[in-house]
Amino acid sequence: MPDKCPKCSAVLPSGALEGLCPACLLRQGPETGPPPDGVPFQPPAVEEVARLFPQLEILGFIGKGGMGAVYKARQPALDRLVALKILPPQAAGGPAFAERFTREARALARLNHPNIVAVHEFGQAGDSPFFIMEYVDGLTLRQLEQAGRLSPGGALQIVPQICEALQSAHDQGIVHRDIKPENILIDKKGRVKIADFGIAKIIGGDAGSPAMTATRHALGTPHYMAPEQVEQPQTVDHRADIYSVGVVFYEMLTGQLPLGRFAPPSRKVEIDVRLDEVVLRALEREPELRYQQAGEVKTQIDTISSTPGQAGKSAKAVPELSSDRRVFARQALWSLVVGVLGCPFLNALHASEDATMTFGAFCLVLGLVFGIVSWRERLGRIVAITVMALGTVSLVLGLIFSLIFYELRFRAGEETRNRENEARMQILEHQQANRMALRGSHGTPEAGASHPAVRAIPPQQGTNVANHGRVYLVGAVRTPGPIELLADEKLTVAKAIVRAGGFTDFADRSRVRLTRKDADGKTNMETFIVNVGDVFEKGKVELDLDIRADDLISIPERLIRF
Amino acid sequence: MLAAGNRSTPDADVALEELCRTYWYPLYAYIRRQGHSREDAEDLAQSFFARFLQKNYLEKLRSEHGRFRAFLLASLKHFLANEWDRAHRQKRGGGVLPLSLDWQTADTRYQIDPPDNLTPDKLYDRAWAVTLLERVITRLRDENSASGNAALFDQLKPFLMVGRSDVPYAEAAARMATTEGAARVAVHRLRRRYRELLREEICQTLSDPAQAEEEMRALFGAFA
Repeated sequence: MPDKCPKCSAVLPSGALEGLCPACLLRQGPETGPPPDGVPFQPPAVEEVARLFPQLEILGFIGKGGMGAVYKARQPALDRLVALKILPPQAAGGPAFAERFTREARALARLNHPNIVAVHEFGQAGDSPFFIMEYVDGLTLRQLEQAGRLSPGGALQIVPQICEALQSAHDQGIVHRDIKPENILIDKKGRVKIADFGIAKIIGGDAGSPAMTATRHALGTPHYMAPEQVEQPQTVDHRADIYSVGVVFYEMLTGQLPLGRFAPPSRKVEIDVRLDEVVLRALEREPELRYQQAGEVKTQIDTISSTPGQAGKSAKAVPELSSDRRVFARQALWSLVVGVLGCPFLNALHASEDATMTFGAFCLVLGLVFGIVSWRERLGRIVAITVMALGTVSLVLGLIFSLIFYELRFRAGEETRNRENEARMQILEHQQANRMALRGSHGTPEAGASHPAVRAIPPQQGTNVANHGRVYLVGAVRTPGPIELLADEKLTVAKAIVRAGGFTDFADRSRVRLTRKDADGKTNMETFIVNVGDVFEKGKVELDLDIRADDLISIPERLIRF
Repeated sequence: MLAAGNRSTPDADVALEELCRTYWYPLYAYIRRQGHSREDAEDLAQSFFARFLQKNYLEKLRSEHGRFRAFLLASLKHFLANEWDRAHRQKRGGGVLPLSLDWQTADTRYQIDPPDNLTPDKLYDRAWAVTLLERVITRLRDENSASGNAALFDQLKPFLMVGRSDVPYAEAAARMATTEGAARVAVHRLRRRYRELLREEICQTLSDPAQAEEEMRALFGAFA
């Protein structure tokens, strides 16, 4: 017969593993988690309990938690069922435990509320502190949850009862400190009974004592603890219970714990949106921001239950997402404002038209995007609609105007062409004359420098021509770059009628930019507008600039075309 | 770690060979359970390893999600199905040095392993698990012996098989003739070290240590 493991009855491999069972060994392998710093509490066996409590008839073991073990028992004298809770013996460690235990237990015994498990008796048996409490025939909230017998509606029945009980205890200065589904019992009639009031304080009275650490560890799940309970256990007051109720409530509504950045309950289940506010306020990190009294939570829930509300859609009580949206909406507004104000400003600064246009378009698109993202905010909606309206209006106007101008241009075409031909003739004449003049008076550029009044740039077809101290930019056109002028030179700019495909161009203004150094050596820039309407005429000075030596003049190419 | 999977380094070769040397018995058991005679099984296992080490099989390891156990078995099945003929022809040639494996022990072990109706696959997994645990326990024993605690190890090793909360500390204390507190500490240390070593050994056969838990469950499943 092969050997079998006495525990799991797996067949043991012969001659291997020193007689150990591989299955059992492997089962222990994944047991991860931090090693216990304290000693896990071993609930005493029923027989042992019976020996310790001769006055009770121990009927059975109910369960065990971090806070001790609970047995079902009967008090024969009174013929009533009771629950016997035995705390871990380590809990009794630490100085002044006996005193604290007595004080707390007395306070608990005074708690008299239909929703609180009553304490009948307390004491110490062997080295284990114990309580004899009211026996509740029912299930814990945890068990109900696991059995899937809870609905959001059920939560609205249960949570107010919890709050009522807590309010009553808080009024007597007793904080539960360990509200969690395991400690909330529901009896056969559906009544809520809160168990283990203040036990956390009895066990963990001296924060930092070894027993405390062990118990903390045994408590396991800190999910129901208020943040301050974890961070500064000394400062805990009744508002920690309100936080825990918030967690329990959230879990009952959604089936999940509110961990990290959690969504409001109405996002997860179909419930009254107004409940979000209750849950979220109970779950505020700062105790000051929570409900200050458990009774308030109850009142709120009762109000919500008694008035018809809108289930489903969440509108206001959506903190993190809505705040994001609000930010976006504000961004949208800013984009619009910056766009609307920035473009004229840029224009005033004489920035290039391209840059101004790009900037404006960018701002509007940004506004539109932000507006759409934050569509659910009123502001975002308004901005988005404004941008779209602006876009539509300018599109329509653009179409209308271009149609009108198309017609006008067509008519103007004939006329202008004649005029232009004339103009060109004049230009040519002018250039001719100019060339003659140059050859006559200043044969070379050096000669020009000796006569500071005039320095000419070699005339090219349609470029620029110097004439008697004046530079005419005629017919004009692409300058090869900035035009350099010497002292006392003057610049006259004329803009030819611009043509394209037989139509007169309505790009009607040209800019001339003059860069000059002032006395301190700072560079200044000035821009002058030249109108197309000022048709070129020989000798006519459209623009008379006072130009000094070392000034630079540039003409944006784009604007002067031929 | 299955850095052995990267064939490019001599270290990887050594690591791979070491792995094969460790886990050849499960393969042998599998082949035997397939119905091959002792001699055939030896030949097959030997030539499989020869080819396995020669060819860069490990490149395909990824297809088995980085688990050496599954991969080795898949390779063996493939070998048995397709390459047996070819391998047979050149099994003693090919200039490949056979791994020196202890066939005699293997056969004895196979013979004395409890007869049951396991499928070859399950037998393979079980044999694998036992081999793995054997290594862990041996290392654990060696470590304890080195620190002069061999006797203590023998006393405490049964507690490796029970849950943390089920350890009868009183009994342990009695065995060690010491206080319960001291027993707790000793048992706890031993258990922790056991888990570390187990994890370490399992990770040797995995390309991704994150799979350790899963592999542990899979091995445990072989005993279900």
